[in-house]
Amino acid sequence: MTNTQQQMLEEAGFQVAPTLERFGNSEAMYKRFLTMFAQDQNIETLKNACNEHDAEKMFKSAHTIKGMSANLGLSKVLQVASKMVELYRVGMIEDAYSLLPSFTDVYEETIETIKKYLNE
Amino acid sequence: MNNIKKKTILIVDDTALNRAMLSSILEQKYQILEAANGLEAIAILKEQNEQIALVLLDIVMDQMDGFGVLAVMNKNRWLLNVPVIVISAETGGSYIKHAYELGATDYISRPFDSEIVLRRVENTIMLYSRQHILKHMVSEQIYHKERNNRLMVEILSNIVEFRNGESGLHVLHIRIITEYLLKELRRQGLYELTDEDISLISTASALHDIGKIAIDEHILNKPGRLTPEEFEIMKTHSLVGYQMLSKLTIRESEPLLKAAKEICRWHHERYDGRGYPDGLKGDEIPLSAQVVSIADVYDALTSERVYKSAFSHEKAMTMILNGECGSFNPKILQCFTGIAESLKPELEIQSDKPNITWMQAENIMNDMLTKRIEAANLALEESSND
Repeated sequence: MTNTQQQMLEEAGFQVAPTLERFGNSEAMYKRFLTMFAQDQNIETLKNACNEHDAEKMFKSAHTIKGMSANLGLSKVLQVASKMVELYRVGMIEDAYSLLPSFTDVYEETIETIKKYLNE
Repeated sequence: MNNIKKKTILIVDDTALNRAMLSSILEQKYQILEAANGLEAIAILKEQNEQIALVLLDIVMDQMDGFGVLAVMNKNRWLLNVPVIVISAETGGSYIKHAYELGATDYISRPFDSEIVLRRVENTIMLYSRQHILKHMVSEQIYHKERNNRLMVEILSNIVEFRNGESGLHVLHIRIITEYLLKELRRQGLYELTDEDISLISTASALHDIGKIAIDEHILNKPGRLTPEEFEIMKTHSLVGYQMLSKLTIRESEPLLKAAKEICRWHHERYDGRGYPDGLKGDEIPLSAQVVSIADVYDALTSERVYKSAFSHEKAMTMILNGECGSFNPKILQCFTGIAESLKPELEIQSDKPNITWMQAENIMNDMLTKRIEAANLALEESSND
């Protein structure tokens, strides 16, 4: 990974160094799982859940995204996913639904960054 | 490493990314199975829980969550042999505690470090396999100890039976009846007996007639009825057996010897005080001797002897219940009536096929031993899971 790449990732909220360390400093692994993250469908489930007001489905997909983004050090996604999970836990379901637009924004930005990094 | 068969790990997570991540950490050292939800995990565990060395379990899943999987594993007792490490993005204390309460061995929260996951998996598997080895060792020890004990007592009692012109089967039968009867008395809550008590009394029962080695062979093997004088001599065998065992003063406090002495001396006492040698009455007669006396009478009736042919089970029961063989403790007699029916096919002497009769008795003894080993293993498992 070049310094430019690392800088680009970090600006988008990627915790590059600690994440790589958790993968035993294998960039191949890092790339492989970012690829899988970019293909994951939980974000679609989450969108549907918020639109259909299916609280449990929303919680499950947000929770899964929280876990994946934690492992991959995607701090922006992690932050918004954690917030959604918390709101669900304390029963503020409507507030959780209303997080969706900012959730999607952050998510899309993260996916764009991943694609840029992988295609370079 | 490649020559050794890899242990299998089951990864349960509804997200492909998460499964792939764990798999990539572990696939070098382990064979990996994957399940995408709780129901799939249960199906795999049902088929091959004996091959699975460890489960890595996500909590939040559709189609049965991780808590549900833990509950099913607990109910089926799979958790005794298959450790579970829960992996979740959850950091809430009550959540983690709940997983432990349901029987999870360990908890790893996201994000996790691949090296640490590998180490924790390795350690958990190692601890569990040590427990397995320990279990195996305990079983082996009980088995050998019991086998040898049994063999020694059988040799001893066969010496007595040999002079008697009997096969030694009588001793085996009495042991079996004694053990079953004691267990039934305990089950019905009539007596408080530990496994140790039951094991001691049934082992000691084999020695009940040991005093007969002091009786003249002409009396012992006389085909017809004994004269009153001869019968008086015959009756001395119970006291003689007791006296023989009493010479082992240095072992006086051994519970086995104590039980054997009681049984030798008092297995011809009767509940109404009309037995011998001491004319003890009711519960003055120790339980050990009361139980063995019933077993002895039943087996004597249903066996062929030089002076009589074998009676059927039904006939023997009628004779005992009618008091034709003296009176017994009614509570014990009632228990005996209950179990004798089920023991009958096992204890029936097939005089034309002596080997089958022997084998049946052997099989019962082995069954009883297996049960004892299972109980010991269960106690071990529970103590290490508490």
